[in-house]
Amino acid sequence: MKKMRVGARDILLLLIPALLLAGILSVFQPCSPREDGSWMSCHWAGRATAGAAGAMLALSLVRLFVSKDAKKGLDLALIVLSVLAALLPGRLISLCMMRDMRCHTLTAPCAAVLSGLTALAALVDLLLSGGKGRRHEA
Amino acid sequence: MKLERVLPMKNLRRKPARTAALVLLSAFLALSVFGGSVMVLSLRNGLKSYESRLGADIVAVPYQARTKGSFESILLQGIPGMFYMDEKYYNKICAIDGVEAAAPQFYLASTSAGCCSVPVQIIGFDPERDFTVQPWVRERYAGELGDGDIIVGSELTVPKDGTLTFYDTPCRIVAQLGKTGTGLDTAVYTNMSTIKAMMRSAESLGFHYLTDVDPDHAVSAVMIRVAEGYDAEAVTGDINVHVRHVEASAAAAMLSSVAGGLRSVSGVIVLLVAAVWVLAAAVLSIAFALISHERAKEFAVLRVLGASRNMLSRLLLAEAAIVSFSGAAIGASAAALIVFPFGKAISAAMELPYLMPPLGTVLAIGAASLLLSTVAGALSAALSAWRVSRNDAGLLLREGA
Repeated sequence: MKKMRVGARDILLLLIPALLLAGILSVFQPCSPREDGSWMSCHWAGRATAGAAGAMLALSLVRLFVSKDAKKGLDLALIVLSVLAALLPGRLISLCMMRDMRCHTLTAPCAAVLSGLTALAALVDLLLSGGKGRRHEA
Repeated sequence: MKLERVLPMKNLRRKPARTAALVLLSAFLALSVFGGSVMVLSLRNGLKSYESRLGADIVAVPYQARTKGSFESILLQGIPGMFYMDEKYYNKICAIDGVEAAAPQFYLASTSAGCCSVPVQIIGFDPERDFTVQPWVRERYAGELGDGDIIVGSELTVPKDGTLTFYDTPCRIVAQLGKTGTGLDTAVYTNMSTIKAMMRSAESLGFHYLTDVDPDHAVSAVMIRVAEGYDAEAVTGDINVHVRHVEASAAAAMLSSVAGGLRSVSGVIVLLVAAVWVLAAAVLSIAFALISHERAKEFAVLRVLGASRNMLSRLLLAEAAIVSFSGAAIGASAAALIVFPFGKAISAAMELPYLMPPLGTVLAIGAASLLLSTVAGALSAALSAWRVSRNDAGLLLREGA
């Protein structure tokens, strides 16, 4: 059986989406509900970002068990998902009107910074994993 | 010569854990100096902005302002406040000797049923008497503020249709003010007739904010300009003595309390940065001393192979410079990832005015941090490099034989 090798880049790619997911669900979560109990759109932006972070974490976990070629594909998928996660709060789903609220001061910056770092780590891994992938023979 | 160029990189690559530890230490140096400097400058900028934004020598508010949201809270944290007094107090203030100009303001907070879970501060002013809001408005809007027109602060998102509704009163956004770094960045400004219309609408919706004062003859605060030759403190005292139920504060006193808070925060930041610098520089010096001691034989072999004493010094200094520069770049980038995206969160936590310096200044601080950290790292290795160059290669090799 082939031995599983976990490198520093694998750990980073696992750790950053995990931090993003944990952050959005706890310390970096969007604004609390209104007095009447209804939610503002930033709440749904936070949920969508958490969903994207969850998907990123799942891909990072799968990366540990697949071949070098498949890892490259998953790196690309991670970059695309990271861009989505960064754009969700504020760009794709609007946040609160006042830009000094939690969703603007904590949720959106957290999503932008940690998604950016994930994309950067995936890009570095893609470039450093180097070499041409094995071509499937007909 | 070629060897001299490639050897430092090869040496660093050969010991990745040692290199990573040194890079991390240098990163701390740059992170503390860049992050700390940007924060201290932002606080100083914020204080300047707060000072100029106040625009009055004295601010007079009703006594109840102490319990129903203070003027300082509105200005510093953007916490909406609603407090009212009869217009007769405004007239009494105008009659005080030394008062050159007085501009009334009317405050109202929106309900949280709108866009956000927190209310927005609405400030009504009289364009004919005002001298504190209009200088800022004129920077962005030259027209006349008509009924139903509003001007919003820089931290409010303008809806696509350019209108906002407060208490069933639709308002047209005519301009957005520039950033000040104070709580007023989330406020909405309008003229007196519009805000009074909102107040009447609020009454009809069941919000009874005014119980003992007629809304049409109520004011929330009076901004006062002192005539030349008069002392603001003395005029403040006169108002407090002669106009009952009103509390006047000199702007200088308000500013000094904010400046005091800023001084303490800045002091703590500067102290932390200095402590990190001293510690990191000391640890780096010790680390380079230990490394050069550990590699004494390696240097001796290089001497035997023909490397000059200067070349050995340059080798160690080049390694230190590469490590310090890489660490400084990583540290400055990490600091940028904290202080820029989370600047508003930092400001909210400190409850002080916070205004980021211009891009040019930030870039200059970044470049200075990189240079300082690189030089500090290289200087930490200077003594070790000198020692290495003084070692007797023959003696060292014989000792190990």
